[in-house]
Amino acid sequence: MRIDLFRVHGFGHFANVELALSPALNVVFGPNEAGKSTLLAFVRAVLFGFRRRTDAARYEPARGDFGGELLLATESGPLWVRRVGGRRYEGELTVRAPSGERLSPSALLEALSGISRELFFQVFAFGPDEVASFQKLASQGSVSEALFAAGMRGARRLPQAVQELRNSSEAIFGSSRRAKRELNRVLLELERVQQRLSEIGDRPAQYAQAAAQLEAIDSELQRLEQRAEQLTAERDQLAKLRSAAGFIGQLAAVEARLASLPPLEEFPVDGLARLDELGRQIAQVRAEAEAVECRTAALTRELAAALVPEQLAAREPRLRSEIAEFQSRLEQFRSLPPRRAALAQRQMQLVSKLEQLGMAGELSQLSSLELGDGKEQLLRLRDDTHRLRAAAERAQQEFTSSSAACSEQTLALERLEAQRDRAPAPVASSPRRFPLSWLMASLVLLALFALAAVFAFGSPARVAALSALIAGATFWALQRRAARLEAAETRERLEREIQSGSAARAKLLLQQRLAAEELDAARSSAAAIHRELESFLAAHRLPAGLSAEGAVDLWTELASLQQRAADLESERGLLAADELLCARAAQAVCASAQRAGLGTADPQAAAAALATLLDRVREVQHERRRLSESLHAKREEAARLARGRAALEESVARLLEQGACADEMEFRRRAEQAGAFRGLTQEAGELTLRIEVATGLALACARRALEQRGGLEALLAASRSLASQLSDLIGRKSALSEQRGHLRALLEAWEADAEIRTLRETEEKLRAQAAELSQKYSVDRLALSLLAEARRRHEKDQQPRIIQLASRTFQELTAGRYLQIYASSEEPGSLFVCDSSGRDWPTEALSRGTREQLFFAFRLAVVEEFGEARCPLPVIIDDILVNFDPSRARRAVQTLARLSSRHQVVAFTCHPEVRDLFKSEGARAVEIETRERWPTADAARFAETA
Amino acid sequence: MQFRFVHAADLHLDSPLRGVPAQGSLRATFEGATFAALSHIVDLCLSQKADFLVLAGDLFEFRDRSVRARLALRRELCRLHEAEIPSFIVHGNHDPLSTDNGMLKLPPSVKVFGARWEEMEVRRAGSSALLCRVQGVSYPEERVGENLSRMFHRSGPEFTVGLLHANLEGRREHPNYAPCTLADLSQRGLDYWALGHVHTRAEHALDCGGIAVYPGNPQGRHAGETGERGCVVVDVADGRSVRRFVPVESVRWHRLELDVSTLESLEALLSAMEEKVYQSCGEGPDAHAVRLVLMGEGALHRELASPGALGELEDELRRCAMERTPPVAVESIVDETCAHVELDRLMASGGLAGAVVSAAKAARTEGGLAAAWADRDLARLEGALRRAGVRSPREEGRRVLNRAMARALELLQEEAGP
Repeated sequence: MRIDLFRVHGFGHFANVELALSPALNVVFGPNEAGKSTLLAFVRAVLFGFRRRTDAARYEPARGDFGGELLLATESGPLWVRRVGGRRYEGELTVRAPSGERLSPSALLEALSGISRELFFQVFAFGPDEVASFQKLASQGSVSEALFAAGMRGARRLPQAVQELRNSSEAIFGSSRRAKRELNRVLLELERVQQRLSEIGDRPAQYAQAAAQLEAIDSELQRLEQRAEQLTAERDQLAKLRSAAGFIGQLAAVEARLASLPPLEEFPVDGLARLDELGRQIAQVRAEAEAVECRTAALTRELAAALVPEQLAAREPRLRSEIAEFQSRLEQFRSLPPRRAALAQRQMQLVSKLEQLGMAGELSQLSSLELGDGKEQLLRLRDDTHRLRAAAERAQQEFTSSSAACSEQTLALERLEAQRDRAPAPVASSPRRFPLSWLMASLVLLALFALAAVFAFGSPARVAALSALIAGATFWALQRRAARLEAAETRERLEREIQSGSAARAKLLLQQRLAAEELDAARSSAAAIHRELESFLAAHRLPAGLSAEGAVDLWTELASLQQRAADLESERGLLAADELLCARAAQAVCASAQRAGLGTADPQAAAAALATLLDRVREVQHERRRLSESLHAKREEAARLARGRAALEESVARLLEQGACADEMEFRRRAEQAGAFRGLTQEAGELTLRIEVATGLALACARRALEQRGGLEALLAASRSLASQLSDLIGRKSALSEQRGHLRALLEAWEADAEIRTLRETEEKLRAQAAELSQKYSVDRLALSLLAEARRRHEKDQQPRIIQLASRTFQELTAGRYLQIYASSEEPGSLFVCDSSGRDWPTEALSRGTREQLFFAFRLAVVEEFGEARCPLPVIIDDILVNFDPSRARRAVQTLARLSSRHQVVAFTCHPEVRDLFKSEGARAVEIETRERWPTADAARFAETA
Repeated sequence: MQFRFVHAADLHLDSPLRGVPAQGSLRATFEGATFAALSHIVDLCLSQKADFLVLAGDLFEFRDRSVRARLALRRELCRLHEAEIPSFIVHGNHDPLSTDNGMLKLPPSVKVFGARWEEMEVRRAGSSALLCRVQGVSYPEERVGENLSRMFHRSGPEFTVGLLHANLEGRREHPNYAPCTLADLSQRGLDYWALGHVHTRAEHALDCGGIAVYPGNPQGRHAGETGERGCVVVDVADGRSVRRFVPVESVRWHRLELDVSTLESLEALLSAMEEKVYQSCGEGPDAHAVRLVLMGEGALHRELASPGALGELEDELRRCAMERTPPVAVESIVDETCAHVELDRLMASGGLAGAVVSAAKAARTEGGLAAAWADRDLARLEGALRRAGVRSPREEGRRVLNRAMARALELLQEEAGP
């Protein structure tokens, strides 16, 4: 590859300038600040990108375009490589074919044979600074690899590969324990987990120990429990004895008092009470007997005083019957006078009614009237009379109405006839053929006449007047004709009405005659019935001349009166019977009262007195009966009391006998002793019971135990000692229980093993992670080793070639002063030179100029090697010969001229002698004008020199 | 004489299941998995009417510090005691006698062999007839370098069971405690070696006519202990044994490998993973735990390498797998895919990639491996891992080296990319 043309749009102080280059050797001459280094930077920038915006060597002009293009001649043809300022700091790259076709940026990479930026900058396009610093850079990683990779086929990616492996492996693990490296972090975490596991220790052993401890505590607790039970039992026993000690003392005293009493076991338990009770009962019986006796005497007296009249007593039933009879008749008796008066009044009312009916006389006549079955006949006569009367009235009305209608009809006929007579006689011709023909004829005539008149008279006014006259004559004639026709029609209608009216009158006359006949028939029937009624009234001795209705009403009234008279008569009979019965009862009562010595004539007073007397008798009888019964009862009670007293006295005797006492006094004295005896015995029993309950022992055993304990004082001392022991025991038990709870909780926690399990899981997980990461790390490190080994092998094969080339060039440059360069295997990256005397010199020992010549030679060797292995690239150097002496500078130019046969060489210099040296070797010389001499910004500032 | 016994080993009670994240409802299942396995063994003894049970060491881990484990063992053995089924126990490197603090207080029907060889005669309850002889010896300490099998010997014509926790034929994946060989065992003339220590089920016929059996651990604890796990039911008739493996695990582990070479999208990969999981995790245990290893070279390699891609896949697969019956817990998805690399071509073509392949080839030798691991940083890492008790990746040296080579080549190979 070579550069044929620079085209600077704007870079540093250059703007819109072009520089054509020869394919072989070129020298660009310019004084200081002409822009030689700027042009070197321009080539670097177009091929590999602008520097960062903050970098002073970016060369971005203050205004105007930034960038430019290079025309490259490559194996695959010319390429325009353009780079201009853009959004990204490195600028926008465009690669085009000469046709303008846009190509992929990789075309540039291919043209550069994949050379890295570092290698190009250090080996192919460099200035005096790079020349001096070559060794340092060559010993550093990236450039070193790039340098060696430059000449190695298939190693273009070596620097990146090595860097990636280093980055990758260093991200995983490193010598420092920094946790940000993944494997270091995992190992740290693992260490922490293992530390914790180590702290936990042998958990099963701890568990076994704790379990054994727990077991020991359990057995100790069991032992303490048993001991506590013993002590508690002992303490309880002592407490019982202590509580029973008082009772035992009391019991001894009671027993001493019992011993002082005679034997009283057989004395009746409640003897004194029973004796007292018997004495009280005997006294009570005695008092009751005395009371009964008094009452008996009083009753006897009362009985003697209560006497009853014997006669009255014997007649009592009959007297009561009489009184009852009288009492039952008393109301009847009292009602007799009003009844009588009422009967007399009713009789008078009947007589008065009879007289009103016109039947004067006695009531007896009323009863003699035959009012049996005649009422039906009378009713029939009345109904017939009614019927006939109605028929006669109807016939009369009909006759009257037909007569009136007949008269009206006659009058109407007369009016019609008079109208007919007034009406004119009818014409003979037929009125029906008149109207149209006559009218048509009249009109035709009128028209003809009018026409003739027009012709004849010629005056329309006269014709009109004549026509009007003729028309009026015609209208009149027509009017007359119509009046005649109407009169004929009226007369005809009147004739028809007269005929129909005559027929109606005849009919009415017929109706009138029939009504008269009916009326006559009704009147004759009514006369017959009247006769029959008269005969009926006479037959029943009723007043003559009564109408049928009056006869019926009288008949009904008389029947009612007859019934009322009969009722009056029967009631009078009843009254008489009642009067008789009342008189008899009053008479009997009065007689009886008289006989009883009650002198009264009023039967009512007699009956009342008699009744009072009889009630008194009955009361006395009752009192006597009651007294007798009481007396009898009292006598029986007196007998019972006597028996009871005997029994009680017998019981007293038995009681005394039971108490072995002769009399009550003795009994009482012994009873008192027996009470004391029983109290003491009971007390002794209770005390014994209490002792047994308190101690749980039989009395004798309790006494013996107390004696064995040495009495109450000793007992109390022993109790205190026991209580103290028990308290200690409980304290120990509590402490042990707490310890046991703690151990149990611990064991349960250990049985679950949660923490250890989690730790072990984490440990295993971390181990797995560590194993995986370490494998990754190992792979990367081994890959690095393999690459290093591969490089070493490569270097071993390839380095002699580079060394040979560099040695040859160095020998040329130094005119044989130094013969050979070599790299030490002991010190990788270090170079040594061997002078013509065979002495080795480390680079550090060489003068600056010689050292720069060495590095220049080495660079040219790499350039040649790269050109052979890949493709030749242009070499661009910026005043690198400043430290070369003239002869070595000439030789350097000659070497470059030789190199330019295969690689394009572009040398920048500010030294005219160097320019001349290049020119002498056939270089194309280009001069850059100083800025002061530039006429315009757009003018070309490069001048080719001869 | 016919009888039946059950042989189990390496219960590792209450040892946590490694690498399964706490996943809600499954957590209890995973926590109790080792206990459930023991319960299943005891249930099996009861249902099969076994005459006795032998437990060949590592009943629990001393380092687990689990009281719960010891109590569970006692509880389960009490069940056997009540059914008059005796148990014979030896202790191994994880539960040596020195860590026995006597807390177990096992029922009287349980015989725990001591640090000295002993032989017990087994008789049925109420019978005087000798069923068989059981010999055993426990580890006094964790590390036993002595060949304990030499203590065993036949003492009668009866069927004889040797109960031993030992590393047979120097299995490298287990610490080489009580090392012995098949010849050693054969020489002792026993009929049945009830071994423990190796967690993978195995049977070895002995020249003497006997058999040495590792029943494996009854519950896998991580993705390295995959497949069915259980114990062995041994039927003995006329001096010959017939063995029958019975799975008892509560959680079954799987390491499923899936080749992604033919898959072109993450969706297709997820479907393939689901299918793989569903095919592999059937009925049987209470739950499954799965490590899914993505293998092969292909287009998905780059997508999987992008940050978070694997995590999202894991989450999605977990969500689906948890809904299965029995539920499946996804322990992890491991990406072991790599870019397409033709090693021979690379080596032949030279260049740096060829040099990398050559360097890796050279490093695969013992000396090369040691040199590769001599790196100061790796040595520091190993020291840190050792202190933390984490297995060094060096133990998988070649595999790690291959991955390193693949990674280096992959990083260099990007040059050929767009």
